[in-house]
Amino acid sequence: MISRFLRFFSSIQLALFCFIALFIIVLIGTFMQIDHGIYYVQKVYFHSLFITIPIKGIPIPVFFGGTLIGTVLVINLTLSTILNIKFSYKNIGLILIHFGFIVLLLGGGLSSCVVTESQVYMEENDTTFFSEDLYETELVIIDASFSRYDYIIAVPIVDLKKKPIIESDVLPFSIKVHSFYDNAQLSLSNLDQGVASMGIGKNLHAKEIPLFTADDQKNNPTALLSFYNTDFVSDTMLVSLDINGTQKLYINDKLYYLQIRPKRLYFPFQLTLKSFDHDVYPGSNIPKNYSSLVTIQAYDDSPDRDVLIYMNHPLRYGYYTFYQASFGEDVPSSVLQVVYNKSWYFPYVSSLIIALGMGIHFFVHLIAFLKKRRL
Amino acid sequence: MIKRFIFIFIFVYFSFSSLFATQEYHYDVLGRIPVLYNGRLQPFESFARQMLISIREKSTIKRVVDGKSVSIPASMWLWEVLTHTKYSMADPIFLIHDRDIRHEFKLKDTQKSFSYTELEPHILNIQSKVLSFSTEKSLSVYEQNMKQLAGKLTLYISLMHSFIPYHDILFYDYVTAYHKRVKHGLSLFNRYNESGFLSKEKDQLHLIEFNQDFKRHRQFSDISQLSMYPSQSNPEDLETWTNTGSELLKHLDFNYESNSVLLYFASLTLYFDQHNITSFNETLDSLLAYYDASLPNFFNVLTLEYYFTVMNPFYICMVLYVFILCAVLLFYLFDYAFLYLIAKYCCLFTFGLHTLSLIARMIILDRPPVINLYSSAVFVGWVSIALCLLQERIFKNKLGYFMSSILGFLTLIIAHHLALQSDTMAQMQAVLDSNFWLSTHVITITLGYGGTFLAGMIATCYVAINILRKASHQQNLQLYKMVYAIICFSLFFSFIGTVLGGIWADQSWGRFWGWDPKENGALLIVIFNAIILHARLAGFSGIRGVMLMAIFGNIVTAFSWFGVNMLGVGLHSYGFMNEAFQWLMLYNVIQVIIVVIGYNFILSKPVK
Repeated sequence: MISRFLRFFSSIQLALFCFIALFIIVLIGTFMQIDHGIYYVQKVYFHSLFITIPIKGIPIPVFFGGTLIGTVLVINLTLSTILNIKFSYKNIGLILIHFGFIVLLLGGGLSSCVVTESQVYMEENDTTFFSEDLYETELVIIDASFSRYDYIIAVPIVDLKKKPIIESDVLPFSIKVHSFYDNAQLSLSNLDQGVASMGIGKNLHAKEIPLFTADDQKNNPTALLSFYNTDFVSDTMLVSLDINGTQKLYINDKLYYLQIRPKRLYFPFQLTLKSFDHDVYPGSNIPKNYSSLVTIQAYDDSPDRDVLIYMNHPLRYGYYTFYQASFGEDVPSSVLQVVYNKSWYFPYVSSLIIALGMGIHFFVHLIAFLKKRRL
Repeated sequence: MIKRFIFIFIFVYFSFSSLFATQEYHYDVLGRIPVLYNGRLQPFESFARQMLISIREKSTIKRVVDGKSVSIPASMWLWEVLTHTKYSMADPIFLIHDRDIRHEFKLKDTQKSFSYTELEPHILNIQSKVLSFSTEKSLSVYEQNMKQLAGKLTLYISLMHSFIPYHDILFYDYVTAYHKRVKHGLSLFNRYNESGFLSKEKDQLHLIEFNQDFKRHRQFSDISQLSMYPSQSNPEDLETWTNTGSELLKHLDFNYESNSVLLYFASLTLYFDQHNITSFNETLDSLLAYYDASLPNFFNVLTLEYYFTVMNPFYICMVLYVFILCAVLLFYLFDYAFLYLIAKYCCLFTFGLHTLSLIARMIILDRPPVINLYSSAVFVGWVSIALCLLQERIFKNKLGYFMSSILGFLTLIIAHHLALQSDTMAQMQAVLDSNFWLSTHVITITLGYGGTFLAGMIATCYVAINILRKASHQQNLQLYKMVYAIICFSLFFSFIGTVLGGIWADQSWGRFWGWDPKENGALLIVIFNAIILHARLAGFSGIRGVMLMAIFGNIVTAFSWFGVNMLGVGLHSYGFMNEAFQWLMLYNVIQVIIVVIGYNFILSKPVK
């Protein structure tokens, strides 16, 4: 039984099957980018066990997703390397290639879990200590009653989606979720005829709309909430990403501010944009280079330093990478993409192993071929 | 090094053409004058051809002189456009294929090309129509054609406003008059600023004229994209080059000495107007000598580019590859050994010219060989031919020159058509501006493309040979070995290329892999080559199977090379092209047909 299992999972037929499946999903995933954004395509086709098509709201799996194929390939590669390849000097290259691929796939899987991508928008002389996630949002409850700081509690938006009631020791009150939409369109209603009974939602309608999948459209998560504790129940309040600024909430006469905003990623340092430059080729409008001069002030003892971030030269700081993504049109300002990735060296190491393996393998064969011809 | 190249090029150039032997004006000298356009210092000839391609969709132009149609140099055409001659306005250069557009503007239905003079009354109408097109919907064919026509007209008009502000007065007279009045005008301006008024009416009029000059030159310096005048103190600093408007504005500085290049150009307009050919040519010679002396670091390269542009060596290579193909085919038919020898030496010569031209391009641009889709086509051809010739040396099965000629012709004709779509030497977008990555990632990935195409080519030959006559097992085995070796080669290079691309992406965008279409395309080639090798290992495919898969590899490579660009999405969104879509589909269909034929008519045999 075990030997049959091992034979199946180490077979070259399975490897071939995985390759073909991978070929197909890469092809489909590429074509799907005509209509959908890259984030959506990654989530649905590559970072999934199965590719599903919803039929009447129930997702029906139609093909293997990238995660599943990758997992099977890792198992297959490991077993076939151990069981099927003879350990001889002639096969060193082959073993290295397979080992490299195991590391590459594992690294790829790992990085799809641990990488966070976010952006910072700064005008010249702005200082910031956080970046904002492009896709994920959070509900924040701000207690501004302290003199030197604000006390901020952030509730991940998934919690609003999954739990009807949110209770926690860190929350000063409990939250009841009346309704939640992943994406909603807000529109003005007649006075006091909106969905909520307090806040700006008194004058707003919220209509659920399908999720956007293109990269240039932002989803607008929206929820109707009420708040209570042992001796108090509040009216309902509409919170939404599209509502700019905070809304006031009084619980037992204590003031809180509420808002849905992009998820923040806090840095262990401060970043100041000193200047932004946009060079063009002489006598033309073709951009030659964008660059941001930033100052990093770490919270530990390390001294401040100035860094120039420009095309093909990002700033690496710990596991953070800042690179020049875009810029503002009106005032000198810069958009930096921030990638936090603890597994960035995986592809480097694995590619090196595979390239070495391929080099050795093909070289050994070439020598053998040429020798045979000479005889 | 560069000098030697120029020497070789001039030699080859003169052995190929005697284009300028009968001309009166020395447009070949004019063609070598450097101008700064689109961020690149280039010879006038390159600029002229690029403009012709953008407007006429061809790099040449013909004109009817004395009842005969003769082709005129691109430099001559552009010079006449810049100086607003009536001949240039009468040249039928605007192609209008769309009958609807011709009917709409009541243009003659018997001709397809129209001159500026014919279209001038409709320009406002055309521009306003294009402005009213929706930007959100995709445009209909009619709308696209209209938009294209409007773009060409805009470019033509902007050319007319690149060098000379007005055509009702000779530029030479304008400049000399301006030189005279600017100093007086400036002193009047200062006097007016100090005292608040000018008593004499003559002075007031002069000041008004001075103000108008200033406004006009300001406007002109904003509009014109063509920088022709280097600064006198530091001509090699391209940032200081100016267009006519800014150059004239510089005279507002009391101490400014007129730019000699401006004076040269002004004199040229005078002599051209007077049909004074001798003086025109002498002035051109002096102007060229001035540049030779003042641009020591650029001049040789510019000269090389001029001859390169005029000679168009890749086009010559393309023609030669067709010739080789004919020779080899005749050899296959009649079995005359000398035909094979002709093909062989001609192929080696052409490959040499191909190589030399690639190197010349690298010197001209100071870049690695592949910087855009055009140069990738040239390089893919070069790589596959190099591999082909190498294999011919090893296997000696008389297929090498045949396949080289086909690959050479196909890739160069693709390049030829790509060259008609955009400037092949245009400056690169900021993110691509890295010679290190261009010479590592782009080269290796292109080596991979070239290899896969060659494998497909050999496999196609395998199918053809087996259909036309029964090939021996020995022969098939040899072809099979060739394909196998080439697939290993392309797997290696496309993998390394993909990884290097990942590293570049990690360096510039902060992530190694993002499932972007172009990245996926490269990955598809890697996976597909891996599939072939593993299918062979698993015993699923014998000789025929591997061969047919290699042919299918052509489709995969064509998709990742061109197809993904046609999707019009992704971070790699540069060098897009829509018109080639039908050609790509035709190519794919042909490959599928070959696979089907091979599958049905060739018996599958195991390798051993």
